[in-house]
Amino acid sequence: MWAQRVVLIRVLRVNSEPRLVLNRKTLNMGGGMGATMSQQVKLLTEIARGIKDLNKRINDLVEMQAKILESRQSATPKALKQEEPLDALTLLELPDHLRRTAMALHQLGRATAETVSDMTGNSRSIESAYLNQLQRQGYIHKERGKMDGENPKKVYFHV
Amino acid sequence: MQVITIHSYKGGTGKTNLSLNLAVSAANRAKRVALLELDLESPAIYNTFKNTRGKWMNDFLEKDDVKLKDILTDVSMTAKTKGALEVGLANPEMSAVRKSIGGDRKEQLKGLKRLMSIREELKGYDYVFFDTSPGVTYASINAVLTADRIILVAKSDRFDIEGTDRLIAEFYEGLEKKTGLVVNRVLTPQMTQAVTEKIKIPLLASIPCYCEVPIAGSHTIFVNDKPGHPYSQNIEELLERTLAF
Ligand SMILES: Nc1ncnc2c1ncn2[C@@H]1O[C@H](COP(=O)(O)OP(=O)(O)O)[C@@H](O)[C@H]1O
Ligand SMILES: [Mg+2]
Repeated sequence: MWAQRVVLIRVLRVNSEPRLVLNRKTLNMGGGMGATMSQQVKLLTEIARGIKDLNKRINDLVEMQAKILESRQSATPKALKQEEPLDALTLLELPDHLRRTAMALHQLGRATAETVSDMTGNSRSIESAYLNQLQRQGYIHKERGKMDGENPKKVYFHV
Repeated sequence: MQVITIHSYKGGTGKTNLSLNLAVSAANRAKRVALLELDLESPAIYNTFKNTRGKWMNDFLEKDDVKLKDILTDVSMTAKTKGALEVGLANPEMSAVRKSIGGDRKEQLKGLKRLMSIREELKGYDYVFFDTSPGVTYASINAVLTADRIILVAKSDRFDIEGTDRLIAEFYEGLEKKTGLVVNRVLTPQMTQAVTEKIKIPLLASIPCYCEVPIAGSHTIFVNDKPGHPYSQNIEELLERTLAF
């Protein structure tokens, strides 16, 4: 468990200046009985910075992947699955990230990726990738704005 | 507007009693309240309030042209509430019950969409309470998905604790909704402890078993009939906590 975490942190250090490396030695230094208060505070601050950094990197990765997905799907011809109702039981079976998006769309009724992202807190490009994924699976529909007050240049999703 | 769903793993935990009394108690605070019965499998609230509209929750869920305001019955007079209380009743006729369970996925999706639409239609209301059927039925999941807050009611028997625990792990955790626990019909303090040791969501209330509750029956509203009774105080406190957590 610990070994795995250390490896993960090491891998993510590639391409950046050296940062906190969590291993038994640093942990013992800060967490052991003999550590002074200031050593502990220093270590905790470093850990917090490390986690923040990790978070940012993971977000960057997810966003990169979302962009790749988006560009890929606009390049390939649409091979849509047949329409699948996004009913409550189906919703429960979706993976967490898609369920969050689908639940937001259910509440909004009809919305752009941007509006959904305001609700979920994800970035627009991630939501766009998730919504397109749901649409390819036949759960939701997608069309250019055509209702009153909608922008015809924008894409709207609905259940 | 806040949508509050009352749900449980097992039947007979006291959901209908709690929904009714919470709704009345909220309306007594001069709020505008709707109570919608989504236990389409075993309707009960028609015993307390007559349906003067001739239309039911079932009609609202099935038909796009039926608005909620076509089916809501104003019961403020009967319930003697300070604010407005309206109820949407489930149809107790067997044919309606059968139909509600039999719908395919497409029809159930429609029910969910209809339920989501009440946020728009009931915009001016303060609180909307959903009474549900126990366990994972379409109507109750739809009610849970539409809710802002969920009150999960459990009794302190071993099957109920096990089931509620699984319901949370396999169903609620993925929904990321505010969910609190009520332990109802408690006989000893140890019973509540047994539940909270296993079920790790915020405890909103531990309500003792009072014989006066079933004796009062479904024709009266407990909090109005016996405002000084400890059950009525439990309801008041539960309402406070539910709105605050
Ligand atoms: N705190 C309580 N003490 C004693 N009996 C209760 C209490 N709460 C509910 N009951 C009784 O339990 C039975 C089931 O209650 P009900 O509200 O119909 O449950 P549900 O809707 O969950 O099936 C009813 O007879 C009711 O009077
Ligand atoms: Mg009931």
